[in-house]
Amino acid sequence: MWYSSFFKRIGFTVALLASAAMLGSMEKGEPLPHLDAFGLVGDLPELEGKIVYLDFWASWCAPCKASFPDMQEVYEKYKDRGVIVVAVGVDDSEKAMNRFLSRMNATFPTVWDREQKLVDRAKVDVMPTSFLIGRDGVIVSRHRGWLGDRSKKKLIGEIEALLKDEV
Amino acid sequence: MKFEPKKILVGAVLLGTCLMGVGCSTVEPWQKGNLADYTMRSDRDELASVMTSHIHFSREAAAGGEGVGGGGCGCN
Repeated sequence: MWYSSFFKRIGFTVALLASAAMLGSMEKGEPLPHLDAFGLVGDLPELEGKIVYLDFWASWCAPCKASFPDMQEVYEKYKDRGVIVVAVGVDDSEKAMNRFLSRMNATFPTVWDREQKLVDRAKVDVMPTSFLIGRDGVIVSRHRGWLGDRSKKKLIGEIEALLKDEV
Repeated sequence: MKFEPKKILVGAVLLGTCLMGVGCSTVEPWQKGNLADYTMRSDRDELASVMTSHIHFSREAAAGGEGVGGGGCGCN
């Protein structure tokens, strides 16, 4: 029938678009895209050769608030061993974001994804979502949400494993 | 031009689906700031919440006591 080839073409187009969308997704085993390309506001530190913990957060997200002191602790513990925490704020409001940051007293780098391009690329389905990236720039793991001590222990375990592999 | 009812039907269905699809919108997890706002909470007004629970409790017997005194007779 004439419409079977029509629907085949539509199916092919959808499959093509889906594979294009998957290309460059931020999943385990994929390289972290260059963050300079996403119009992030703020000073992005040098990430090359470092173990990076990239966290997406928002001021209105309660688990994000709970994760900040733990991330600060992890950062303090490992910063001298080449581990860096980068927190990417995805708020619409810069004012709300800065108010949140001033309360948190975080010393690790924070940037603002004003255009929400990076968070879109990361396909974040839960707030907060974070990624642990190895020194080779490849994503080691993806963390969904923040469950307090459980998440902190898991993160520390993964960082320790990465550091142990280097020895 | 040849009149083909099947083509017209399939075209109409596709057009209708496209038109209905326009009304759909997805709020991404990072766009839920407004939904997470305090003003979106149904229990943001404490006095109104107490009064509502009082009405449910004493008039409708539809909810628990929630700290409101009385036995459900409607007299308190």
